[in-house]
Amino acid sequence: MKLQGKMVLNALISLLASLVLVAYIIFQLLNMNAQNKELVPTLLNIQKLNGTLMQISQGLNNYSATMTESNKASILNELQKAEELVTQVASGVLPSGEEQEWVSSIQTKFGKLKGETEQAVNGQDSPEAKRQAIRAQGIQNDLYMLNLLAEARYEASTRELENSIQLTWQIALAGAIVLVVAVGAYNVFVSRQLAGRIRRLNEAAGQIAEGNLMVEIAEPKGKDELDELGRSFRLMKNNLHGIVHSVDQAGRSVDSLAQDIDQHNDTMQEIVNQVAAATEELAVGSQKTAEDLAVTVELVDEMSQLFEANLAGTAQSAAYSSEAVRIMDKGSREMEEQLRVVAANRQAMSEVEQTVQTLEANAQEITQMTGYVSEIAKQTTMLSLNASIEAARAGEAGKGFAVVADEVKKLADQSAVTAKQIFSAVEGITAAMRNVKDSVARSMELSREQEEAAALTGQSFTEVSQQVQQIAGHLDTLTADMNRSQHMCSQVQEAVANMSAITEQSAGGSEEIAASTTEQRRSFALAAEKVKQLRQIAGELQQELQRFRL
Amino acid sequence: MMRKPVSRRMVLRWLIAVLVISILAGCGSNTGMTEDKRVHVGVMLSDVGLGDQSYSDAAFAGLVSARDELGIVFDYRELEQVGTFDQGFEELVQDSDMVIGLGFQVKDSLETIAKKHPDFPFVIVDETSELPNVTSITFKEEEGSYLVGLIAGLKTRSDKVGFLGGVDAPLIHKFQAGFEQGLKAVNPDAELVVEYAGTFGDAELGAEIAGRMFREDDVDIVYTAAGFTGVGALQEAEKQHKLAIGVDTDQFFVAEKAVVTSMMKNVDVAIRTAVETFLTNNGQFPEKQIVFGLKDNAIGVAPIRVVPFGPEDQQQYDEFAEKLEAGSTVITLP
Repeated sequence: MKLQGKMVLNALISLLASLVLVAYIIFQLLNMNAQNKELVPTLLNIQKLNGTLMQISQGLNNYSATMTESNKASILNELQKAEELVTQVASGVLPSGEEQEWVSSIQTKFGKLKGETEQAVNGQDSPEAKRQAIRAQGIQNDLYMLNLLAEARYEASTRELENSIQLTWQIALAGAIVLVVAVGAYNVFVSRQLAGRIRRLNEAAGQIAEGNLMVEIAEPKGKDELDELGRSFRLMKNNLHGIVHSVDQAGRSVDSLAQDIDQHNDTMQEIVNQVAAATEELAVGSQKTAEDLAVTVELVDEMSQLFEANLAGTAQSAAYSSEAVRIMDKGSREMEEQLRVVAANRQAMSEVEQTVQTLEANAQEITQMTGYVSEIAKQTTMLSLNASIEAARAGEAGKGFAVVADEVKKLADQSAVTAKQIFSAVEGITAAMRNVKDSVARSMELSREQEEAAALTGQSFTEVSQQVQQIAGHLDTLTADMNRSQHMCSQVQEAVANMSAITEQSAGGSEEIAASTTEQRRSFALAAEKVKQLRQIAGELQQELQRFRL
Repeated sequence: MMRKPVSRRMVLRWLIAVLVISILAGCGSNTGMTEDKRVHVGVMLSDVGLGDQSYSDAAFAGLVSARDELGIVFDYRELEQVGTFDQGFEELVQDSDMVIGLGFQVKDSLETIAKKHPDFPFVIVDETSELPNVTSITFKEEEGSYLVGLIAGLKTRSDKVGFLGGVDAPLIHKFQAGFEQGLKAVNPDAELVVEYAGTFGDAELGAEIAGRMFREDDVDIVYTAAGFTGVGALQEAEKQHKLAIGVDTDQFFVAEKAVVTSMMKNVDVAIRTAVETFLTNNGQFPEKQIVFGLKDNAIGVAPIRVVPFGPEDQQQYDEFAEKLEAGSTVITLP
């Protein structure tokens, strides 16, 4: 039943009880009223009869003084009235023997009075009329006695009535008190029960507010609003229980995730360290390349000087060839001398060849290193990509880290570009080197041919003089070639200088890489700090959740 | 509904409470039927009964007064009703707390019944008794008679005054003595004609005797001490244009042209006073004999009418009356 219904029922019960009480009072009052109804007319008749007798007595006195017809008629009229009243009194409700005695005495005396009075007035007997006047008073005394008894009866009845009223009043009062007490007690009981139910719910709410989700709420059996509230409360508690449990699990997940990020961070730092080391190695490699290049420049300078010397020697050969004819005798000695110079030239040439080979090996090394750099740049790019992803997952905390990751990616891209440039430069060097090699090889061939020619000179000076002209021509060509070689040498010098600059640039890039790597490390440290904060927050969340007892 | 057993218990408790209260209240309701016990006086009237214009009516009036003012009740018996006085007294004793008898006529019967009920209080008017439970009420009728004798002595022209006695008995002799001494005191020349009728209830005889006195003895004023017999005498006086003096009550209305005054013997006052004494002494009489006189207002004189009574008359009257009241004049009783 609904609370409203209960309350209405309570009120109805109280009202009904009050109505029963009121009905009882009304019933009692009606009953009392009935009791007194019968006596009153008798009492009234007695009073009337008394009055009539008094008038008869008075009338008789008057008649005895003045015997007029009007007085006589009045007396007879009153007698008639009195007779009727006597009959009425006699037939009234006067049950006791004593009352009946008086009634019969009155009847007898009145009968006699009536007869004698009629006789007196008809016979105009004045003394007799006077006598009857007193005798009427005698009847009045009997009537007085009767009235006394009737009044006593009436009084008793009234007293009974009063007692009855008092009794009714007492019962009504007692009933009212009992009603008030009972209804009050009942209402106190009901309201206490209601308050108790509300208090229990309140206590449970307090417990839940303090975090105790273990609190037991009995399943309400009733159907009123409080029971519905209890049911809702139970549902709320269970839902809260579930929510807290879920939040706890989520907190734990965040913690483990943060831990993972932390670990990833460590790995990242390791990778960055590796990048730093690789960059350092790259710097060292570049230095070595620069040093090697310096050596190459020296050698090329030397080679250039040698070319100049060759050039001068060839010019001298040309001059000598004109004199060759003249100094044929001396020619064989000089030829030997020339053979020795050519041998020395060949030796120098092989030395050049060797140098170029070393240079080639160095260029090969640079290529290889540049490949490393490129690989590192690729790895760095991958790393920065991973870092961006992790930063994105870290959210707000990872923003700084995302900037760093972006910078790292830029550097890696730059590194890749630089490496590519180095590649192309090295390729240029390699091509020049191949040219040098070819030239040297041809020089060697020419030197061998020179040797063969010189050897032939020794055999045939004639041929020599003939062919000196040819030699002079050859020597001109040689001079041109020498010039070309010198030009190539300067080209090599230029290329090496370029290489040196590039290597220096590469070293600068490495430094920049090292610097950004340091910054990256710092960012990682910051990220680690943020992750730590995240874990702390997760820890706090869990601590908060520990307030809830599940 | 889960609270059903509780509410049932409540209702049960409530019902029990109401029941208990009803029973307790019921116990208290039947008390207090106390009937206030009024003193019941019985009176045996004279042989003539109620309407005798004398004792009976006076006793009746006194008891009515006592009934209305002192709160007693009374009942009366008449000879006609009960047959004998003995029967009347016997009946009254059964229903009453005290019984009154009127006059010497009932004395024998009263004493007979008083002997049968020695602890029952009786009162006899105008008589005395030796019985310890009979208290007598007597009057100094001679005092009243003396005073009306003064008036008769002053108003008689023929100096012949008549006295009509009811029965020739000592009580009536007191009337005669007082009347005669009063008459002679104020009018020494006056002569008193005395006659006794032998009955108190014969108005015609009274008229006859009075008529004879007026005609034969030249009496112009007659004093009747004869009850209903005297009424006839008073009316005869009126017829004869003579004067008369009534007795016991103011009998002016019996014969308004003849009755100068009446010797008032207020038996009603005496009986009322005796009843009062009886009541105030818890149903006993302190004296064996109660005597009522002028002082008690039980004996007196009715207003003087019919004849002029001038200052001179009044002066002479007062002179003798004062002497009587002061005790300097003493009436000699036979």
